[in-house]
Amino acid sequence: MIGARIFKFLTIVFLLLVSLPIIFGFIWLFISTFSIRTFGLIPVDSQGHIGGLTLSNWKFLADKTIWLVTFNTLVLAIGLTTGIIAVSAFAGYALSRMNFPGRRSILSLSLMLHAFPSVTLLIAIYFVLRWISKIPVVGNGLPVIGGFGYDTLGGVILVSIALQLPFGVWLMKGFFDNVSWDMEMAALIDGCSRFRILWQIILPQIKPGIAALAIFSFIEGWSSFLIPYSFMTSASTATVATYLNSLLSDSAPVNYGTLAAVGLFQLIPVLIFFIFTQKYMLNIFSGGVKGSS
Amino acid sequence: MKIVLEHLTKKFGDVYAVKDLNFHIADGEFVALLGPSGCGKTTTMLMIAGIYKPTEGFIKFDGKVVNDLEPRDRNIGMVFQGYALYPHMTVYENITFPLRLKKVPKAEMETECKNIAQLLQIDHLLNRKPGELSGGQQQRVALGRALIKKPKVLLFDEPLSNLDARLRISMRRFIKEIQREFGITSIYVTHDQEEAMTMADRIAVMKEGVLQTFTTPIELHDEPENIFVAHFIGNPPMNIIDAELFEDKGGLYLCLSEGVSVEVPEIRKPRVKKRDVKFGIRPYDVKITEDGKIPAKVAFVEFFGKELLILCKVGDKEIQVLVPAELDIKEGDSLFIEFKESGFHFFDPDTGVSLLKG
Repeated sequence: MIGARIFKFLTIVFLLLVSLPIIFGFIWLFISTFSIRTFGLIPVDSQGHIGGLTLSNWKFLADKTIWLVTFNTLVLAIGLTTGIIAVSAFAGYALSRMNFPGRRSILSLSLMLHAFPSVTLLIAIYFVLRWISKIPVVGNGLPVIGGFGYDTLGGVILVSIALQLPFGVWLMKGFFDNVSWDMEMAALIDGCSRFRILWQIILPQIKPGIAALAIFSFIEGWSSFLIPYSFMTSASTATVATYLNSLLSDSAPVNYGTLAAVGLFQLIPVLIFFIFTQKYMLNIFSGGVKGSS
Repeated sequence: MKIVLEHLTKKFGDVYAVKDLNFHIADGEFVALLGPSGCGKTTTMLMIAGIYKPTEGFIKFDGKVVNDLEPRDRNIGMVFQGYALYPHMTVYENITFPLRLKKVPKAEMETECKNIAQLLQIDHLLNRKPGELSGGQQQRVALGRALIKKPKVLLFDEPLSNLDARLRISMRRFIKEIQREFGITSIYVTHDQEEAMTMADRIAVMKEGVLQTFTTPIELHDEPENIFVAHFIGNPPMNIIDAELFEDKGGLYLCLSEGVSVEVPEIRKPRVKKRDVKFGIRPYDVKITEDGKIPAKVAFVEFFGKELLILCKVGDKEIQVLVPAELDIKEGDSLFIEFKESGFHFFDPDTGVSLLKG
């Protein structure tokens, strides 16, 4: 009894110690957004005296660019999430439930693709996107996302979905595998069509999986940097992450206060999103699977 | 509904799951498909349900071939081992699901559900979710869902396997009563001989995809078709012993072991004459006597409920005998045994087929 308590105590202490660098990182981030300079975690003014609190780091909010960039990032995250969910759910269902030639090879191949670092594919993807650009309308003539070609938001969404699919498909397949065949047979006998079974019987049961994949994809899209940085070269179509990067690579001295503020700004939606979906996830995990919500 | 299976065969790849199955099920009959796991009984049922398409052969409902009919058009109800209730729906939604798919008016649906729920004694659970119910309650809900569309055929796939022993016995009677009341043709898949024996009008025993026998429970027990059936049915299982038959002075004798022989009663004489046979005798068809023709030595005693299961050595052969626990028998005792007249069984040592059936 006492041993267990001590063990629990030690675990907490250990976890706290390991998390300290991250916790301090966030505290520093928060403090420095409101100060001219910082000395450790203490805000100081330009002469080095304690104080120097300011809101000037948040001036970027008055700029139109940040809102355009935020909107773009939101479109990217939502587009990525819906795309991943739609394709993964159907592909996962097919791979879990149907027997067709090439099923096994698709499974192993997609697993291999997932192990590939996406950086290695950048040049090839560049050529693919250039090619798509040449297609009229679809290439670069669509509203909001601009199209699916090079230097468009749609192109970035398309590439991000493709790179995330192996993970999504495997996750979904796993969840589908856990739904018993008996239930599907029961529904067939009760008078359901196969599509209706997927919609009314199976999908409600894999909600936790869909939620997990949605949260994962959204955060992935929101914070993605490499793909937008590589394929959206003009400033008007950049995302928050590339905007953050542009602050760093300016030839002028880096303003760390503004950098921190933009960083915090990027963090806020993820935090809010996570707080809400986490609740939802807990809720469905505790009851949804067994059917008592 | 009459069900006829003709040359029904199902192959998965190169493996036969069910091979050339033929039998008739009469209207309102309760038939059990019995066999060890992997014998093809569930595959057979799923073909009748329309989930699997037969590789060869025909399934006929009331004389009409239904091979290509979708499950939903076959008018069947099915109860699964794992209940297969829809976890995200309430009991009411589960039971009425088949009716909702048929677009039955809401009022009618409610009355139907109420009737069924009352019959199954689950009317107080209608607003719960399956996850909040006990195993027995869930099975009743599954039964309700199968019954509400008034099916012509009821299929049971080991419905009681997940329940505890006590509940199984009461559910057994309950299912049988419901089946009688509605008079629905029923097929019941199980690996539990006791379930099959107590519930079914006729039992089809299967092994490795092949039908062994299809007969009434009494016939199945008293006149088994072959060694497999003889050994599979009855608890403790029948003794099967290599023995020889010889004729002497017009009588037929069974030689169990060197110098130990007993006359075969007239009514149990094999139709086919053979010297080497497999002799079968059930442990409860053997009696212990003070004096007799077959001397035996007790090698092992097991307590078997209100009885003792003792292993006797007769020469070089072993025979299990079931005796009342009051008898004070210990290991190492010497005694005599005697076979009940109707208990003699003879099988062909090569084919395993009963020699008592012409």
